[in-house]
Amino acid sequence: MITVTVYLYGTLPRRFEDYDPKQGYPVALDQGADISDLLGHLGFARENVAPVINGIIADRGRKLADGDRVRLFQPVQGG
Amino acid sequence: MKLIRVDMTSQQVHAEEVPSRYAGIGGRGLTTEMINAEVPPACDPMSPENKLIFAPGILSGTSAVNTSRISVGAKSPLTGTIKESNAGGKIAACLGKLGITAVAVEGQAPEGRLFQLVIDGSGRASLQDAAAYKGMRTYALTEKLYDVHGAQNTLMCIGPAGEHGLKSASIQTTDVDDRPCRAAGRGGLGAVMGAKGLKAVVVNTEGKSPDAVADPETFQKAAKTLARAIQENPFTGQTLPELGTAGLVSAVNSLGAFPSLNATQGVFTGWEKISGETMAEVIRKRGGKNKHRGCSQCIIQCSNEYVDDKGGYMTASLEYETIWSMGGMTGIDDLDTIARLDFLCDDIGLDTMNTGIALAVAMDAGYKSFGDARAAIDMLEEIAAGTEMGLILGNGPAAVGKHFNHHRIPAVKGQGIAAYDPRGMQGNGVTYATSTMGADHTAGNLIGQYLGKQLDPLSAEGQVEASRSAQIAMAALDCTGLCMLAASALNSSDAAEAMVSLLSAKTGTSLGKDVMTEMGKRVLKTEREFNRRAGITREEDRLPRFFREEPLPPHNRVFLVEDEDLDQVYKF
Ligand code: SF4
Repeated sequence: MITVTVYLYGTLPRRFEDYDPKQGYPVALDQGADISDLLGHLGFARENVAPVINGIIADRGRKLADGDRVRLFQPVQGG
Repeated sequence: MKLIRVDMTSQQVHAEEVPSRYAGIGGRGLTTEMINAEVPPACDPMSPENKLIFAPGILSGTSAVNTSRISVGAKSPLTGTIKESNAGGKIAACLGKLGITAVAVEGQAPEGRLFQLVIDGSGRASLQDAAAYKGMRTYALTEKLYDVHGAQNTLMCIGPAGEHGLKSASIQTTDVDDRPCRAAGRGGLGAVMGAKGLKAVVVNTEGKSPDAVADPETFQKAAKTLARAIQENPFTGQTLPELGTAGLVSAVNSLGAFPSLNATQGVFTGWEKISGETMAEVIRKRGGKNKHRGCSQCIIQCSNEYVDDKGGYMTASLEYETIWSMGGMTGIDDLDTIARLDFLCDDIGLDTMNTGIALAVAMDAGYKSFGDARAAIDMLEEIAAGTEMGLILGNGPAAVGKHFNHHRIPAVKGQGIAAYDPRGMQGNGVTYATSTMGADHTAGNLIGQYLGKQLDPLSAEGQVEASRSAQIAMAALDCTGLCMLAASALNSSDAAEAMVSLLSAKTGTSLGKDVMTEMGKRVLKTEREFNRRAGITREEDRLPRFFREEPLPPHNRVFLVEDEDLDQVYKF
């Protein structure tokens, strides 16, 4: 198993009652899991969310490693 | 279809039918067309030859939602280019309801005189003396003008910065709560208004003589489709009402493109303290207002009312660009201070962006320390007082850089950049470099495409094409009166079709599906033509050197798009 920490932005945190923005949301996944698996686990599989790891927008097929921090954003336009 | 011409030199005001060469256009399309036709391109922007044009969008004053944007145009004293800066509030819808297509302010009042333009409920305009309001800040002025003219009015006005003729001076307009907190901020148009001797424009809100909609049935149907699209789009329907534009703080920092400490860092240490999520929580806990309507007929409500820890009003609305310029750029990680700085800018009549960057350049040059909240407030007060240093600061980042002989000036054609670093979002750099307006994010922002992974923000590839399309789309949008944020919902084909139907039904012409693209191209070409005649060359369509030479952490990229490629943006 691996554990990644998910940080949620916009209105996404509302969906998780126990979400703490300082700690993030720890998610345990099988070894070899990718972003798609993570989004499926969180119930975001069909949604338009942007996963960001180390400042880069990640593909859905990107493999996750233990300890990864994944930030999830909703689509935005300029402001 | 009325055009009001105000001659400040003779104080004569007269209304005429809109001439046929200006018929069917509005907003930026109209200000651009008029300035290009009527203002000598080489003129001094502060001279009587310049004109200040106010034009609501084509759809302003109709029943379509989110259509109360007013374009203000002139030759800019900040950039030396043609300029259109637009603002929300109520005034565009109100002018539309009076059947007023544009107000052109011409000439110059005699030295030392100050006037207000008052437009009554039947659309009649008159110039009245405003000597008593000399030097007044916008909040006090607004209160006074509502006392004198009554609550059934909306205003546009300048503060001390505009009267001092400063290049960062804004024109402020009242929101739905009658506070002068919405701004045509960019390009120093407040200085042009000050040079003309015009302190305020007062417009009655009860007009009942809008231009007829040519095909009301089609219009209503399309208006409903547009409203539905805005409600159903997750950004306009959910994120913006909850967090406002401040929601971008987290995203842009997470992508390493938030220019901080005068654009030396791409992630601001402490950004979590000034993020949209934090701001919304602070406002909620203190009893302020999130999801606040700033402009007439808005169904998104991206605005907010920020309050202090006792629930007292501090400012409206705290927005992304200001949180960045007054926070990230200056190193101030305290929302209360940023709110205070935002209020002061609105009150003094200053563009928060250009001013925040000016402060950051001064700090970077060693005049004050990054993060010094007291110093930031004092510097704004110096601008209001018109001290020697205040005048330098109020003339923007280029003036400050020149004064301190400091090389790192994040500005193009004199206008400060926005909250997206060109090294972390290369296409936004293309827009800053080549926009007809100087550095301007509203001219063509690609953040949506980066977050949607349609384009790699860190490589040069595809940026010129993306910026070109975005600049064309924005130039068209700025003609319509539709708020840029509402326009995010136009990405569905239903909504895009509805937009064409609205324009066709309003103007009584059958417009093709490419009307927006054609309109955008026409506007940009006219603006380029004016700039060319004003002596702007392609050597000015460049970013400052430091963006190419100093890598931005954390990605440690420089700006990569070649000069020859920048010169391709206007090949259409
Ligand atoms: S979304 Fe914001 S800026 Fe746009 S019309 Fe509404 S309140 Fe005004």
